[in-house]
Amino acid sequence: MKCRVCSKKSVIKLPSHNTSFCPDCFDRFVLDQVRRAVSDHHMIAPSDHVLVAVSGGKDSLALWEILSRLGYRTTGFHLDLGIGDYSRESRAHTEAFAAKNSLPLLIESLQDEVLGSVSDIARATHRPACSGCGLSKRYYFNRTAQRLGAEVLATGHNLDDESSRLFGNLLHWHDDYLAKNRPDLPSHDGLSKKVKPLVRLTEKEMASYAFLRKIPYVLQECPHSTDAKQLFYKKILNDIESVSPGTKHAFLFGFLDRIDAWYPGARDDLPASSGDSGEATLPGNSRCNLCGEVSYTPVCSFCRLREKVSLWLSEERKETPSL
Amino acid sequence: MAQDIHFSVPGPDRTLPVINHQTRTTLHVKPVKTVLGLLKLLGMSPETVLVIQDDRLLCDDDPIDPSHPVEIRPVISGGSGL
Repeated sequence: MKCRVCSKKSVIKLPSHNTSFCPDCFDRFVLDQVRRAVSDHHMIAPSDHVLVAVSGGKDSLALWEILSRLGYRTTGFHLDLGIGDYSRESRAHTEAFAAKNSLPLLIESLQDEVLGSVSDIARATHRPACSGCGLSKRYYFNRTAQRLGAEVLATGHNLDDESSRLFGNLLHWHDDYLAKNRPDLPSHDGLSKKVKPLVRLTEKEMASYAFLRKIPYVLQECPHSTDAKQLFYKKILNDIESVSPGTKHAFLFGFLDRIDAWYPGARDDLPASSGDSGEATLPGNSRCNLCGEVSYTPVCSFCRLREKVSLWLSEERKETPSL
Repeated sequence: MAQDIHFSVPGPDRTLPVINHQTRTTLHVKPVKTVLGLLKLLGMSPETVLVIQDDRLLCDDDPIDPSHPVEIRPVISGGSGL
């Protein structure tokens, strides 16, 4: 198969675009897609300082590399989740990438504040690990962006992430989440602006990009994600995509074309990082009584989580004194 | 499909090793002509994996050299969504 642009041998076929590319033309394609996402959704101004949330996976490392190549001022932020070998490998890839590319990197460890790992959070809260993990990441990402004075917080969510999230939210008619199911959320009362510059690119395209650019990343999947619902939704969408190429893109971007009409004013009213629902909320720009971070309840979700884990750990220690 | 795949143990005939670093497994399959043929044999969608041989990314209709191992690299990840 030949590259649609230059007729060299292609390395990737993109049925959704009815095309295939050689490495050089694919590289241009990826950069163009990111430029277009940034431009269409007014994600990043040339003078902005961008905090890139970097997990050590293909998407976030590639995003960091792409934003640097496009000339943006970036700082990476990695949250060590304390999930055994998976976290050790993720952190090692992130540190190696930053060192190789001479990019500034900040690292924090969940264990330093929560005194437990994501696994402990799951046991203490009796909720899926992904729930506590997501809440913790939102808290740390926003706090770090605020402390750093970064205008923008960028995450490596791709087209598959966003379309599967939309799919799940639609299946359950989560209106609160649907209103925020967009690749750009403005800054709001102490919450940083959040953007997803990879929203036009699929997981396959991002993995191909990382491979072709020789970006080593953690291949191991998070051990807690094996039964994540999102994986099931992605499989369904990919099954549809294989029969009808371009469906994922049409699904997500068709929604984005309608989101302002369906949820008027939601973009400016909803907090970008709120994970709470159905609880009494405080009006306006409020702060957590414990940590001082932005919160819409007297004590923020993260501090409540921290207290719950601390209590659970102390009870565990009582039951097993050798710990 | 199951008759053509041997977990980790090469069969008596010539087989193609298929390595998956994510699952840390190696399958030995009956040699196939193309990437699409391999993915069909494994029951995988082209949208969900990279196929790599000799440090080269292979396209769906590329031929597979039966004398070299192939790496299948899953691309789908999931979890907290952040």
